[in-house]
Formats: sequence, C-alpha cells, structure tokens
Amino acid sequence: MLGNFPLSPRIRTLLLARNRVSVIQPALPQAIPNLRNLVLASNNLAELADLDVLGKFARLTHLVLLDNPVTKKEVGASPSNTVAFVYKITGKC
Amino acid sequence: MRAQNYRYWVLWRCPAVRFLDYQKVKQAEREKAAELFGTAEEPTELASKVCQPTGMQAEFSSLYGTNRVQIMGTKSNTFDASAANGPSGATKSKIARLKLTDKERKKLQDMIKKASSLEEIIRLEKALNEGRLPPGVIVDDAMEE
Repeated sequence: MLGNFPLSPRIRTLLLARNRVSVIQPALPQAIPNLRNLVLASNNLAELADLDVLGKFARLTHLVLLDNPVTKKEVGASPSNTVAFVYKITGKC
Repeated sequence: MRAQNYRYWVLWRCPAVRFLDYQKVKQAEREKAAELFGTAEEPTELASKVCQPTGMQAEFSSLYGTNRVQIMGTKSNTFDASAANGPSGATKSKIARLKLTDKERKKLQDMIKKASSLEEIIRLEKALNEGRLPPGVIVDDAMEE
C-alpha cells in the first residue's frame, strides 16, 4: 500500500523502486498534487485497475512501472484462475 | 495481445504521462491506445473486458456475493475499500505475492484438480490463504531443478 502521505505540494519526485507496493491509495493524488516523476519499478502492482489512480496525478509526466506483475498481464485475462478454482471446488463440497 | 497492452492501458488511463518506463510516449501509441480502448465516455469492448469478470471469476464472485470484481475491474485489496473484505481480495493479493512460476502454477493446478477429499482442498486453501505454497508444489520443484 502506497499512501498515508500528508499534503505535500512540493514533492515532485518519488523513487520507490524495489519496494512491495501493490496498491496505491486512491486519495494519493490529492496529497501529492504536483508529483511529476514516479518510479515504481520492481514492485508488486498486479492489476490494471490498480493503475487507475495514476490517471489522477494531473502533472505526472514520467512514470516507470517496469518489472511489476501487471506488465506481464494479458489484457482481458483472468488474474487468478487457481484461487477461483479452489473456491469453486470448496464451494461445491 | 500480450505484454505491451499494459502500456497502452496506462497511456489510456494517464494521458499526462509523457515518458513511460523510460521511453518516450509517441503520438502513434496514444492513437493505438485510443483505438484499443475508445474514449473515457465510451470505452470499447476490450476496455470493459479488462474491467469485467471472466468465466471463473464471475462464478467465483457470484458464489461469494462479492462485487469487488466489477466496473473498473479487479482491484487488489485496499484498506479503505468500501466493499466487504471478503475472501476474494485478501486471498488474491496474497496469491499475487507468491509469484508462482509457470511450473509451480501448473503443479498447483494439478494438485487442486487431483484433490480427492475435502480435507485436501482445505489444506491447500489454508496454505494459499497464508501466502505460502502448499508443500507438494515446492518440494517437487526443488527436486526437478
């Protein structure tokens, strides 16, 4: 989870490579309104929908998402057949 | 259909971005993204497909009455999620953390398919819920390597 920032209008760059960010707080763009550069290489972002919040950073121009699970994701593929399968079976048992 | 589509998706969601993954965003890419996903008001079929449950997932969410998997799609578990933090979110994010290799994933799927008793399923499920691989998956893989 990336979030819990106080209002920081002077932050322009966040270098967060090699962390374990899997979710970005939906309110983050309000806390860091002037963010321009965001490096999230080698993190744990897994879903395309989790990236939606990035669209709300109005001034974000440089973005790096290399080496996240989401970059290997096929558009339209279901994320975890395995888990669904477990529940499908246990649900029926 | 693979890999690079994520780039188009990001470009489509974040029009302000000028450099993605250290590469300059070209106008042609934006156009391709718009072609793939349409406009924000009228997303194309593909865009809504990204956002919609497919097959198993649909069944999964109907079983558990979660509406997490909807509209702008499958989100990982958030703390301020208004929706009930059902088993879906928690399990899925942990699974994502597991980072299975293809081989492990296949092995795991096989194990689930072959599971003959409820206990076995519960054991597998428990292991996955705790964010670790069930024993068989790892041991086998280590031996193969």
